[in-house]
Amino acid sequence: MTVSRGEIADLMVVSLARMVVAGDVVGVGLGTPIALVAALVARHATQRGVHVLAGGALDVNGDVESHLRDPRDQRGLTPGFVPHLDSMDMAERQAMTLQFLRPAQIDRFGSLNTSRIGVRSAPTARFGGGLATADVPALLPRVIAYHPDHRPRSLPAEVDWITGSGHGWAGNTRKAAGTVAVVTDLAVIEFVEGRGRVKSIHPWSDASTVRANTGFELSLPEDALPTPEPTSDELATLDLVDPHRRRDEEVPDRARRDGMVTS
Amino acid sequence: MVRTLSSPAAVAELIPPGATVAVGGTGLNRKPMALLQGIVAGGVRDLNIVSFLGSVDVEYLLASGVVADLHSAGVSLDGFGLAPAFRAARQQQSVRFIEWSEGSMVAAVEATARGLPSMPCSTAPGSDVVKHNPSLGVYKDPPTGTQTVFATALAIDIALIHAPAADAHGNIYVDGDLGLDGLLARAATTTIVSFEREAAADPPLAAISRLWIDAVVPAAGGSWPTECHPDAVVDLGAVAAWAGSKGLMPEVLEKAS
Repeated sequence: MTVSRGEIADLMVVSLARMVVAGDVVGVGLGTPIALVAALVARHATQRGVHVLAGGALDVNGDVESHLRDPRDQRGLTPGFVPHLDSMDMAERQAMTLQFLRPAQIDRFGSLNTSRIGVRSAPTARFGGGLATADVPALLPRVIAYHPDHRPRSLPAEVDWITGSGHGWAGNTRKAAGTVAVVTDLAVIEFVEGRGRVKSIHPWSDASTVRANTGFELSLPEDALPTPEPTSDELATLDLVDPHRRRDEEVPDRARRDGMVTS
Repeated sequence: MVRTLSSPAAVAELIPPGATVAVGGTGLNRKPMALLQGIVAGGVRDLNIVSFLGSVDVEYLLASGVVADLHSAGVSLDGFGLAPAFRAARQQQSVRFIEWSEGSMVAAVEATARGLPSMPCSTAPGSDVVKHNPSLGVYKDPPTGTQTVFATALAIDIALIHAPAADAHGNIYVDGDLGLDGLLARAATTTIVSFEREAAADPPLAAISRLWIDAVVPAAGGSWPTECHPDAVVDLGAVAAWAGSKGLMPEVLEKAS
């Protein structure tokens, strides 16, 4: 079964958006259009019952493009401007409730790697640095990760470098749940009591593909339901908030394998 | 007394080799590029660079070969992706990169600004960032017994900042996000600010008081190719050229200037 980048992006976005609940304040980082579109879709779906903080501007009433503009060019569109240090204080106070993160790796503990691939003494790839990834899993009530290229290297048993630590480490006194779910191009995985469990499998995938492409043992019910396709309402909202399909940019530009393991 | 320097090139005389230099701005916002060019042109070397959220500033300094240690929570070219010179330097291990999280670096600079030996921060104790950054550690918070990450004060010799405006007294005006620049100005032994234009003095509206400023330098266009609202927008073409330059940043910069 072949699937397009657009179909993958749409299903990942709506799967993320469906995990946002009314009252959430969603922080969106730089260079992550899937996260931004998902937050905006959730804001629409809840009749603005969800707040979105992106690039320093709060609740910009516009599409993705207007969010990507400088917040100082959004006077009249946004009721609030949040300087970077204040947004960090919002996280500290849990005035921000949720962030979508796109790490290079997510492991069985929900630990996130945004720093480097390979062992420390001989890394094979290094990235830009963790930004606030080491901070937010200890602060926010929920972190939801996403990865548009689900394969054993992306979801290993243990990440090569723990930027944001997952479940099972001491010292968390803030009722921060850490990584509660991962949405990939193959499935939606939830962490329940610190263990990954497949919640749903995308229509173009199946249980054996998900299992073969995951580097750790997942709780995977054989009768796991397919991820519900985007509804007509969700598709209409996607057209409204992301008419130029910026969300597709995050999905690797190559034909998706069907049942094939790549690493 | 705030000095006025004649040009960005004059900054080199104020920076000894091996100094710890904090670069202001965040991402593609208000990077003090003209001041950095002054440093490189003046032949200052072996710098310990602190760039909270780095972009073309770090790229330019790395490609110019003036960096010994680099402290940052992240370096990228925003929508243009990974920074080529930074990535090459890390993979070749040609500079020592000390990775911070945003929260821990803010705590380390704040400790310096407040004259404290260290500050607790909310970084996750289980992070490898904490394990491998020698300025970070985990202790039991004495009053509560909670496992807490601490950041020791990060000493900064020089802070370099670019702003849209300064007044005749040396007060600094910024439109929008100050990023870490207010903290850097308070933490650094010496703070030097380049500015786009002179503003009428209105001290209560200043983003950074002259109290924390040692020298100002007129430098219109001094953040190029990064933005400086409302005077300059990001030069997307230049950043794209930079991103595709595989780290040959000085050549790109010279061609465009």
